[in-house]
Amino acid sequence: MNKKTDILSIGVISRFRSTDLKRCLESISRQTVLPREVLLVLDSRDSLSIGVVTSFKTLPVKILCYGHPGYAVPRNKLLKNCRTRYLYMVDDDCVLGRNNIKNILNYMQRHSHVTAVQGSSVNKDVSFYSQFMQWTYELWNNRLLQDNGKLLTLDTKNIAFNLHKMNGRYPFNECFGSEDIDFGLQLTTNGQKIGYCPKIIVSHFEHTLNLLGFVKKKLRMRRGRDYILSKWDVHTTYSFSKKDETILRRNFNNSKYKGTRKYRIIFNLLMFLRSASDKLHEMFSEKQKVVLCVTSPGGHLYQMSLLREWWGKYQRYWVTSDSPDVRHLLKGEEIVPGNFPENANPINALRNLFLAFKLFLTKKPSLVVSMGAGIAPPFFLVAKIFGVKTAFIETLDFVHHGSLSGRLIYPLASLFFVQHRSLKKIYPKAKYIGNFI
Amino acid sequence: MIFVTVGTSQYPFARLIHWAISAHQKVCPQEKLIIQYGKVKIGRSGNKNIRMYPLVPFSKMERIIARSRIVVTHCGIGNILLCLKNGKKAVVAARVKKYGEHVSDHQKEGLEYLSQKKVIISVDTQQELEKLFSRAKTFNQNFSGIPRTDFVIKTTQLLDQLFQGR
Repeated sequence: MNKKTDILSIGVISRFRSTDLKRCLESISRQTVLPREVLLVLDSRDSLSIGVVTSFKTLPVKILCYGHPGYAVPRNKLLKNCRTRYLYMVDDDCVLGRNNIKNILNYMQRHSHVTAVQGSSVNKDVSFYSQFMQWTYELWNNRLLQDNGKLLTLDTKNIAFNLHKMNGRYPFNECFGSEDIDFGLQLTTNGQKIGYCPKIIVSHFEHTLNLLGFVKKKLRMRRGRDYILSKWDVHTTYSFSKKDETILRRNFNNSKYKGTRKYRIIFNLLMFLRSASDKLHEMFSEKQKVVLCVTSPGGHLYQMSLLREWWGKYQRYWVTSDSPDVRHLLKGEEIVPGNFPENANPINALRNLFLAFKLFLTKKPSLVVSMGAGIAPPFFLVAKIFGVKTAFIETLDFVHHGSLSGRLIYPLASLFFVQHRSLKKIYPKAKYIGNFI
Repeated sequence: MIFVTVGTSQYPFARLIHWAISAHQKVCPQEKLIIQYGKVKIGRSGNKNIRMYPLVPFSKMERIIARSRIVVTHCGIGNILLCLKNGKKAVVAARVKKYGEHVSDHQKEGLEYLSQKKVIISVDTQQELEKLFSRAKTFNQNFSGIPRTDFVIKTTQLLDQLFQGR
């Protein structure tokens, strides 16, 4: 006879997937430690699932009928209706490992400060597309882990909550899209801790995806994540690096699909699609932002041109003199001719001021960057008026005394870089970045 | 071949050009001397071996620097970085405010810093320049990676952070 706990119950959410639900409930009934009760959230129109549940007489199943499908509301409903200390949430298309509940209880006893425990999942009997999806999903999770050093993603298909730690608050917020990252972020921002226990395993039976479904799901996930991360002010990059590519390739080579030619072709196609979509995404998200590079010709411009790695990413306009030298350095760039000579020349400074107003109204830049000399101050003044962010980099040849333009700009710029430590005496808030040589 | 350049500045730097011409006449009058004198005009010298241009296009500049034995320049960062990129140790003189060569004396400080780092050779008088001209070999510099990648990466990160409002 199996043991039974009084402090843990299982919550399952299902929608029109009766066969999956049956498999899931069977796996629950096979646990070494049985839960106190199984809470079910079903769609009220789903008569097949209700039939499945009623046929299970061995498990204490409680149905919380629910009319409108959603993401946050049914989960909050589960949390609200749970009478025990721990709530273990699983998806209906998962099969639990036999010792899952035992492992959760063990983990919770050892880590009493933890609010939620995330388990791992294994994909079983899935199509190639969903397998690929799973790999990319893991990559994404790893990246979030590395970036912040905290576990931010929670997968609702395999997570246990300690309700005593929640203080009656329900973490699933409907206002924020519908993604698993959201819950993790909400918990961590409230100062609650999330644990990770790889022993708690569920095998996940993902529904078969075709290529179209794959693309659709990918797009939806990306949009949702973008939205949530921007809400929570978390910045991670989507770009598809060489390292990611090697990891994906290694996963593919370790999988059962490796030998077949058909899957090799599909894999390469998916890899291509992924990188292409990343590129497109980058283009649309970053190129909309406009950078105004305001720099005098000569050495200033030459130094600025060395930072091509940075400004190459954005749409940019250059304000310099329109000479053949400049055009050689900035091949194919859009150049707006400023008024020169500008050093200690009040008339040209005034003209540049007007030019700045004109450019800010027409081009609408979101960042102004300058490497120096006389053309910069009018533009920085106007940027301050328009509330646009600015960055100034003092040139290499000013070592002990700041340049005139630098001293003028220092109170206006939102970021001020110096290439010598000695300059920090004059510009205390400046950032030392080392220099070109 | 010796190449003298004073950049595209609107201020004159006749001092350096006169030094170069007289040192050239004294030490190696047969050698070709190319002078880029900037926006302020300068009288012609009778010597056939001396070529004078107001401005040298950027594309040609690199070729001349790569070919020449000695590159003499004012303390402009553009020129110095260009020399370093082509593996040349530039001979550098600073513009001084006293003679109306620039708005401030910052080039002196820059010159001091760079000569401490041993990426250039600084000159302050005509005699020093003559000495350097009389040396036969070129001043080579085995420098790799201008600009330094860590510098570019750091700047890029900081600017990106600013842009994304982190």
